[in-house]
Amino acid sequence: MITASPTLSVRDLSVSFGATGARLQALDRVSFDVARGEILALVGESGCGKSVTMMAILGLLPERVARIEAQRIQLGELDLRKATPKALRTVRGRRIGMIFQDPMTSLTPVHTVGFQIAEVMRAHQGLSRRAAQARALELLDLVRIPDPRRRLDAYPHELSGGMRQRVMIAIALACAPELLIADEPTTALDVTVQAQIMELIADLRREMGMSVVLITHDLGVVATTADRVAVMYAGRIVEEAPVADLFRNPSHGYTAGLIRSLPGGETERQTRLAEIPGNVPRFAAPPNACAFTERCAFALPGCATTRPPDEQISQAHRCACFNREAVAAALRDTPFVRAWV
Amino acid sequence: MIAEPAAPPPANCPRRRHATMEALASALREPWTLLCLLLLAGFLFVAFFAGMVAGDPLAINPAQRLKPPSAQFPWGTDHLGRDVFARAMHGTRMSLAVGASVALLSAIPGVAIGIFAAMSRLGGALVMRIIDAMMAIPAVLLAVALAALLQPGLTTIIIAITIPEIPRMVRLVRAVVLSVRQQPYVDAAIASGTRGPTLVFRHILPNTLAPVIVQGTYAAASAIIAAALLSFLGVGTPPDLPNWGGMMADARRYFQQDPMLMAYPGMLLSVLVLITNILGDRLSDALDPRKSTRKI
Amino acid sequence: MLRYAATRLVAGVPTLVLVSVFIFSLIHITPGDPAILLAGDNATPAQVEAIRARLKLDLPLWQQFGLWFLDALRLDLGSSVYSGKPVTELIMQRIEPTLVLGLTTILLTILIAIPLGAYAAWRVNTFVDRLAMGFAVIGFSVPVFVIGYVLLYVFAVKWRLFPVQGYKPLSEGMFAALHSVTLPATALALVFAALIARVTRAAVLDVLGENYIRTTRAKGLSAPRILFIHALKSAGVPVVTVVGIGFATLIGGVVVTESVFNIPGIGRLTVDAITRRDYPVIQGVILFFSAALILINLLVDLTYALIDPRVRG
Repeated sequence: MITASPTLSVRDLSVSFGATGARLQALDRVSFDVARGEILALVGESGCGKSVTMMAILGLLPERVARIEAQRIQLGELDLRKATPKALRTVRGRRIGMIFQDPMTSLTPVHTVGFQIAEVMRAHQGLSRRAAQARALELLDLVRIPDPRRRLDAYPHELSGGMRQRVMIAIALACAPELLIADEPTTALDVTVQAQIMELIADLRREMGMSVVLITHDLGVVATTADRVAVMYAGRIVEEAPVADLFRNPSHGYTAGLIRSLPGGETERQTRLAEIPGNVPRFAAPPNACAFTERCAFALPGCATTRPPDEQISQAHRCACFNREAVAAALRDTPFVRAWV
Repeated sequence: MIAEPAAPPPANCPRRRHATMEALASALREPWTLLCLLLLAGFLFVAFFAGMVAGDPLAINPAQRLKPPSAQFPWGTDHLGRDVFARAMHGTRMSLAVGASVALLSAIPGVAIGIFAAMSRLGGALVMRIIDAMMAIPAVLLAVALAALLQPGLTTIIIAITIPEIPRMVRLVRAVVLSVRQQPYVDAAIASGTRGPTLVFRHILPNTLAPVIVQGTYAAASAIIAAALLSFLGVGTPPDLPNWGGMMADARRYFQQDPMLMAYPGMLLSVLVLITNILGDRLSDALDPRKSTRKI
Repeated sequence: MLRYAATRLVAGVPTLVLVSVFIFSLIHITPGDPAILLAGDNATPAQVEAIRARLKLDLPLWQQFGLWFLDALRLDLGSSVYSGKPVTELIMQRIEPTLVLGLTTILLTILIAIPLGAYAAWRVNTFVDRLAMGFAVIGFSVPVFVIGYVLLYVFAVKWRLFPVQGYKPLSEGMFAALHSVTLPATALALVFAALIARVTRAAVLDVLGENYIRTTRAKGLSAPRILFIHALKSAGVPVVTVVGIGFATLIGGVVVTESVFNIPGIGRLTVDAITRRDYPVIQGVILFFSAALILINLLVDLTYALIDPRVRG
């Protein structure tokens, strides 16, 4: 899937927070590519660094506390590591659109929806007020908001959560960006609305030919929408594979835990969903260990003392786990995996 | 949003009182807070021992009118030949007395009325109407009018400043109680049969304490200004009570020749109010950690 | 919007009635017989009686209030005991300097305080922020009459840039009038601005943590646009509330400042009336200021609706 010139290419991105004495590592050498037109899902529990990754790429982390290091952060031909704040600003909104988890609070309450959509185009494309309003109307139509002319003058509090998320999508897509980052776009919405929004994102990706990074903790959403998955745990990417490969051949202990905790996993008699014991560590584990060791059902003695290297399982599937054969073998016959393969 | 690299998570929440004391203790370690407390202690010392550190503030000496500073009169003399230093030192008494009394006297009825206004539906609405009307009268005007109408004296000044201060306290307490009443633990207490006084004293009153202490500190600061203002305008203050506002009023006529007559009391007044306000800010930060911590 | 305005206006009426009850009882319930006080130490009983009859002090209290209130409704606030002139006329004569001073102060305040507070919030915990907030604490700690004399000393006595005292009416030209109120308005504005800058900072700081500010950053908007178009407008309601509450302080400040700078406005009228125990004038002026305050609060309520669409309902 990875083509010669990906939309976004990240190599060894590390982020740490805090004062020099007590720095906390939030991201540890994260690498991934997003190919043109593909949907890459970043999956993991909350606090694993999914959002920090994207915020770091966009230059949205508070400068005074966050230290960012990377071998490469490349958007098309542009090196984002070297971009000035002003250049980053033109990237945001114009070349990278972003939507967030909570549509209820993500729109400024005191401005109309039309104003907030038009504003992006006026800032980046120098459109006149009138032209921007006309485009805003088209965008509302594009994100399938009924009666768009009337909604243009509505305030956010007059719209439902699903509607507001559609408005957020319209804002993100206003300048036809080459990359859309969707950070848990459906978490705060009703189940029926969730499906609609995901469908909308998938359709728009096709219509506009853009790439999408979908940040989520929901493997179900991943299975139906994404092309490829990168599983994150405690600031590291532990496994990366095309969706079908990941479900057919999960190779990291953490991926296995995520899949087992899905409804429909394990046996049908089961009344209680499987869970992964313990909690996500607040920040990355010591550099010489697999961060998941303590919670892992497949842990080997070496896991706590050596960091497993990234290994290529197939051309598009890589994983950092010492015991991936056992993981794959254990998961091969569960009903959920069968259902998806 | 992004994981803030702030304080570690509260390990199994220690008791609240403990946390409060800790916050206060850490506020105490700040140099600015310490400086303010030291200065306040200085003012208190002067207030108690003014008679020992300075001479007679009331002795008139027509031969020594408007004299520059000397060994006998460190800050010179005023238009009646009175010792400016002695008057300034004795003036501390009235400011501190008024500040402390107003804070205390506005807090007590303020808390009582505020709790009532929040707990009683009908009575509360009525009380708030009256409070709104009281707040529609500019506080300074009300204080000036009250002070002018009563017999001059310290009590009059305190009453005149306390009355316009009460509505503010009532509003604050009511707002706090209304928000406390929304808390699940109060619902739980009511559901388990806690009623009336027990509910108020065990669950409601303790929550009002921190904001009332903070507001009381600010009230003290503004009362000190108000008292100086009343004396400056010449209402409510008896002539034999040396005070900063009165000294400034006396100095007005000689302002162009001798601005220091005005500067001494003005500076003391400003410094006292400033440290009271800063201490109020510190208390507010320490007692309500959600508020942004700020250093000047 | 109109209905909202109408309901707010109607809600102000009972407040004003209550205020007039307070102001009336203030003078009639406090100990001491106003007639004896007014007549002076050497008055004969007959003179006291005459004053009592003239001020209708011999009627029952509720009748006195009724008469006073009905007159007040017709804008008749009685006559000054001292000069014999109608209180309404006295107020109208003195209103210009107070209005010019007040409006200049408000303008100065808003121009200083709101950008300062917003900027301090944007650069929170930096040197700029601490400096601004340090200024704010000092601003509302130093009493307005102390600031007034400092300004007088520096700008009028030492540098002779402004008149030491007095007021030039608008009839002598806009510039002359503004020149004469510059120092008093600055003194007042420093106090008022300190309060508003603090609240603006706190309100904007709250808003800057909101998700929709993150959205504006993701949209690639410029910092001034994020701060002023999105954050400040969203923070508008608490800021306007404090501007409204601050007016009460401002009115108190006007009274003192007019005294310091010898400006013949309503504040001076008030102080003079109080020193002369001119009860009708005291009552009238306090009622006037209270009505002004109620009106301002009404405007504040209407401003909420302009700023925040959620209030319009």
